[in-house]
Amino acid sequence: MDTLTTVNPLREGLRLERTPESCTMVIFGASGDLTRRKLLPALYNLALDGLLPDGFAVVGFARSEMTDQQFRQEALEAVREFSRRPVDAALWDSFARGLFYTGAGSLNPEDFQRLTGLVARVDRERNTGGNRVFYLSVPPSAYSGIVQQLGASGLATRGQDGSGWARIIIEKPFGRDLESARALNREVADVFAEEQVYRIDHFLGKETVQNILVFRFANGIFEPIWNRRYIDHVQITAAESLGIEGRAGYYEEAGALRDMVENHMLQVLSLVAMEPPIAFEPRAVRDEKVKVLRAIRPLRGEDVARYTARGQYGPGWVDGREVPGYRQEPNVDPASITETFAALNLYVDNWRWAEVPFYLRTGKRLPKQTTEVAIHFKRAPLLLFRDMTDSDSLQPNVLAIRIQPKEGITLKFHAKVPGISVRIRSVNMDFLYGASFAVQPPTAYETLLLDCLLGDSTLFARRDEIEAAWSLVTDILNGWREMPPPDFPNYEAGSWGPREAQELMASDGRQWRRP
Amino acid sequence: MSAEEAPPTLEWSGQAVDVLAIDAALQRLRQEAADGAPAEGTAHGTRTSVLTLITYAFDGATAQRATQTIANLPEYHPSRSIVILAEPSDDEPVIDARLSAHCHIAPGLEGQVCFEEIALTVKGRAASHLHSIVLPLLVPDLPVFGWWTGELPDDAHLLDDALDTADRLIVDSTRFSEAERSLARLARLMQSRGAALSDLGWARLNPWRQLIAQFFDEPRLRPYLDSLTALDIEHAAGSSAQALLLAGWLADRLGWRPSGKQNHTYRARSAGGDVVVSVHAELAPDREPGSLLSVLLKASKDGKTATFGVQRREPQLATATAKAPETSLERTVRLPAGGDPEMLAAELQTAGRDQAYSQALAMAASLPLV
Repeated sequence: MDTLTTVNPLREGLRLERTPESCTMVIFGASGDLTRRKLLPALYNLALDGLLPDGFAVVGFARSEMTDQQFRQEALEAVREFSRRPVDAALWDSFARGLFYTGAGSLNPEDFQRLTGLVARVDRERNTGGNRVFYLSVPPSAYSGIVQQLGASGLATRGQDGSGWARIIIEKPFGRDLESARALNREVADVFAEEQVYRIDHFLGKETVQNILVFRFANGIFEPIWNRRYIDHVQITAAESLGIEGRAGYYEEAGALRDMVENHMLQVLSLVAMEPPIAFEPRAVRDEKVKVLRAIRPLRGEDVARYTARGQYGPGWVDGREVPGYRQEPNVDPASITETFAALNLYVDNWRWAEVPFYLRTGKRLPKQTTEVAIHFKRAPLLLFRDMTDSDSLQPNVLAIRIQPKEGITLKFHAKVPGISVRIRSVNMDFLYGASFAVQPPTAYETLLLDCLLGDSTLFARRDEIEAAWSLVTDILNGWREMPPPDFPNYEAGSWGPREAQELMASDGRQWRRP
Repeated sequence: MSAEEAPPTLEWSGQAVDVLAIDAALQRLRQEAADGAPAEGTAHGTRTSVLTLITYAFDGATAQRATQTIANLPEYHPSRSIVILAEPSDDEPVIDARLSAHCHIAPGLEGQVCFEEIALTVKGRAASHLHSIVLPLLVPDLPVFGWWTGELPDDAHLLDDALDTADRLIVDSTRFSEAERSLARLARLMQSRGAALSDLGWARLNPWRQLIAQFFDEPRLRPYLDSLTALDIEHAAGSSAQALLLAGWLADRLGWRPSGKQNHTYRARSAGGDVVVSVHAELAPDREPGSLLSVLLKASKDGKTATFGVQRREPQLATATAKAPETSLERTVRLPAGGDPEMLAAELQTAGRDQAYSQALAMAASLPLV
């Protein structure tokens, strides 16, 4: 019966998740922090849930020399420390048998020859059918060399007998401006087809980010008012109370705009503003997202000063602790002009959003850790209750989607205070994930790694999205460079950012919401 | 959560009460629970509701066990749980009620989960008209799940009452005596009434089905599905319902036609030839009665033979082994906890009908008939 051999008839109606085809994941940078903290724990948790295929294998590749056994031991320690669920000894043994390691002195062709040999052996021993995922968990400077070697060694194309598939997962930062992002895209495209490339932004693996799509497109009541007629403006905040946590080397080069806006915040903006996709599948969703990014009005010349604000924190108090200013952090240039705060006023020039401002702000050492999208609706057209209430207390309706922490959705509306007279107060109606679904969700890396193994790239950034985002951000960076050097520090650690950010909204007669 | 932080549980009870009194008490408790334990960052008195669960029990011990199970649900707590101990008779109706309202912070999660538990003892004639008591107590407009804790009753009216009230009725075929006969009755019920039923016994098979299906995700092994010759299932003594459902599922998915039965051996015809299905019960006092111990599939194709087996080693650990000329694999996998709380929680997460179940059930019911 041919039908039996083309699809697995036992899969139909199985409530459990699909499991990917057997494959080998090669992790470049296998002794690094990301591998320890995120990748190995995520893979182990997927194994715990039975979501990894038979024969799944990990091949670690890094500078240090280690035996398979040592790598397994390191992996065990990492998973013990960082997994959201405890290690089960018997299951660990089965998982660890699929972990292999090879050292790479200097990423030269011989190292890759050894890697190719090891991957071929693992293919044979564990029947992975020549399927491979390459995970670049290395500094961006190493991307290009690895990609070239993957091409030259033939690893990127096919399994040994010409069967199987190859995919590559690339961590952010994907370039540092439009030009470098394009160059990197070209280098990757020389070796991999776009369908093979998974540019990971862990933000998109978060439950609430995916829930933006569900909220908008699974409900009938929001989409009709999700436009310029009813929405006054949108605020997107990604605030961190942490400083740079010893990552001065990276942050001095990056700054808030590259670190947060180019990727996380523009991704969230595109999910909030996109048109309904024709299907929930990679191409349709990403087509709509990239349209939003392309529709954002570019900021050039004087517009940069008018529509953006940047800041850098000085010393202050956060969470009851006294903290140093950015320039006093270890390994930071005492005269650094790297921004630790950025606020933007963007416009999405299309029919849905024409003239609706999108305000984005992100910063380090702000008063609290929070990421949210707040949709501010227009006021009721006629204030019937003007005489009976203080009109300032009649705030417009706000729908706030909290991404982290306390994931949930809040709607602010008005209610009458009980009593004979008509007094009106704003009340919040809260939906908290934790209070409705007492389920511990998978981590973002679990979601995204599984998606990649299954070949679903919906939640990964496509080449054109990356370039559209960098195009916008590069214009702003250029604008800032042409302006006189900023007078940093300009906000105190533990405050909501510089005065310029308040002015950015005040000039429109609006103000930032207190998350 | 330490004892000091735990918000007090609010309670109310009444004997020989009417539904209106229960409803009024419920409103009051709900308000007090929300006021008394506001989690940080949440507004007073707000809550999110997900579903109502009605549990039907016909003896005190079962009712108690069910209450315990609901208290231990690992996730997805019903917003309102109604446990009914029904004692039907020709006497005058009497309803005793005990209510409690809780709000607690789920460990590792943000926000508080609020829910109410209603324990009703319904005696006399009212016990045959439970919907009249339950309908006013449902959370408006949210899914209603019924949990039938015991045997299928001889009095069809009782079950009809439950099927009318709930959007989906959960049974546990493992607890039915005479598995073959009960499965057949369940299959008829599903077919004739179009009842939305789910079965904790079937839910316990989920990881087994997943593991068996996984063998054949490998395209080179898939052709063996066509030429299976034997299916051996071992289960812990107590009920063969799970074993029969698994056999029914494979038979349905692979297009087998039942062709005979001898004791616990069933025969079926497949596209590739005859399949012998053996179901053995093993005494395994340390395992859940009726739970699967091992499943072995044997295949023979073009002179090549292959076996695919899943063997439970510990309550929550199994080994999956594939042996074929093309490839041999062995791995250890975790079987999720299969206790009542876990299974019930899994069922509460699923809305809609489970087509695979009704087909497997119909096939399981027809295996012994030939």
